[in-house]
Amino acid sequence: MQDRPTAVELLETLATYLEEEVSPELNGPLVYRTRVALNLLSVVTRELADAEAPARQCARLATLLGVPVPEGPTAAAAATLNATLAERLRQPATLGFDEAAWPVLMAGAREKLAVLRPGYDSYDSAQERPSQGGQS
Amino acid sequence: MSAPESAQQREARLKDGLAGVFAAELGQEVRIEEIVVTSAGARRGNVLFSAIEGDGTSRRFCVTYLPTLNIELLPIPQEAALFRLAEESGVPVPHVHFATEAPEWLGGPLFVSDCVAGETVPRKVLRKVAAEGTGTRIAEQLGAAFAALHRIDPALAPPALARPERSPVEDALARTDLQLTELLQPSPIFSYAQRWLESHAPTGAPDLAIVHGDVRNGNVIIDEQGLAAVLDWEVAKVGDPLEDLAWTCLRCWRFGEDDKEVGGFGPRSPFAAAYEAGGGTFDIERFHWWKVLGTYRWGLGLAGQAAAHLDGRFSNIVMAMSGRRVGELEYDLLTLLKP
Repeated sequence: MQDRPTAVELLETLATYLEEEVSPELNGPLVYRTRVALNLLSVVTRELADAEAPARQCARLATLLGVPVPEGPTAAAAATLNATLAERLRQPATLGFDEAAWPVLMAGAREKLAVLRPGYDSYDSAQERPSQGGQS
Repeated sequence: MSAPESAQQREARLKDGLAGVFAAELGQEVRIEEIVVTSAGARRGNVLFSAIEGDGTSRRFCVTYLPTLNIELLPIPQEAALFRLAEESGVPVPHVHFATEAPEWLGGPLFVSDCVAGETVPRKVLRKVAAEGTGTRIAEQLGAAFAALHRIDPALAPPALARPERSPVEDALARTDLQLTELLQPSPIFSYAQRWLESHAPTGAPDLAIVHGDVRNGNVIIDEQGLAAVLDWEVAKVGDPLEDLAWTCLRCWRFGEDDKEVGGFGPRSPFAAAYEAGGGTFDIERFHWWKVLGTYRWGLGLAGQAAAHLDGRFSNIVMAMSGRRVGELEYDLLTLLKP
């Protein structure tokens, strides 16, 4: 058991330092790179805050693939199931599988975005598809 | 390798070289001032400068050059020839004054063009466009510029321009399939996209055209009239014209202006209408296919940047962060491909 500040609190402290003490002193390409660094810190902070993600991924993927949910639903188990699904989707489609897979893929994509870039999924490019009659 | 030159040494060398090449190519004695290095990559440099004649007349130019004689993808003189071809057809590009392969001026081949005034930094461009209300006009201007480019007879294309091996569609699929197998971490969404693209590949050969390959906010100059020039022609090739139109309309080039499909500038309909008015054929199904391909290709590209960061080929914080942008492209692909 480590002492406070926790890992997340340390990352938040680092972000505040970069933003309030370092950024105002910078110019040129360092401004952009430091913004990227702050973004990177916020990604890691959100990722650490969601310890349940591998369990949810394992449950979704195992159900779709019709295999038992791994006993220890770790990140490594989720990665194995993910690789199996990638392999399966590269093969010719079997009846109904794409329709079953799409919502699972979308749930995974939205879960990633909640860490990477919250709000990115508020726009839906489906309205740009030709079958939608195009854009007004 | 000698010690890297300082900024002052580089500026002095550029001034001497540019004054020399103006004398040799144009017979003009000029003084070079106000040098601004806009990009100084290992592959090529772009430098803005003022050439001042003896009577004090000053004019702003841009030089594009290779710092060495190393082999290049699109040789500089052929890039200059492409600028001229595009200009003759009505594409807004900086006017080229001269090109030379002589290495004695800046270390490698170079061409000098007009310095076109305006904004190029994507977020500044979009702020300017919003303030001036030029977005829809720019969408039209881009459609017209593509029509002008694509009506050039591809037989006139400079010989170094890449041409399709099989067809643009088959070549693109072979390339992405290879990149898919090279991913550090398998992506079910990319697997799904590859198979969708294969099973929905457009049939029938396209009318081949010279395509720019990377027209987007960041590679255009925008002034108060709208589109002033299209830059960065080094990935131009002979290909499917719809590939060019689709790339401009990817969500990743809208910089937050998501509902403006054409580069964050404006809607698709004026873009398509201007393209057709200029003699192009806006095939919506083919356009959609190339949009899916482009979204997928950029996702693979970002994953490749992360791989280059991790194995040390090209490590920096931006490349690292690219790996964590792949999820954006995966989400966009799914929205485009809902069964």
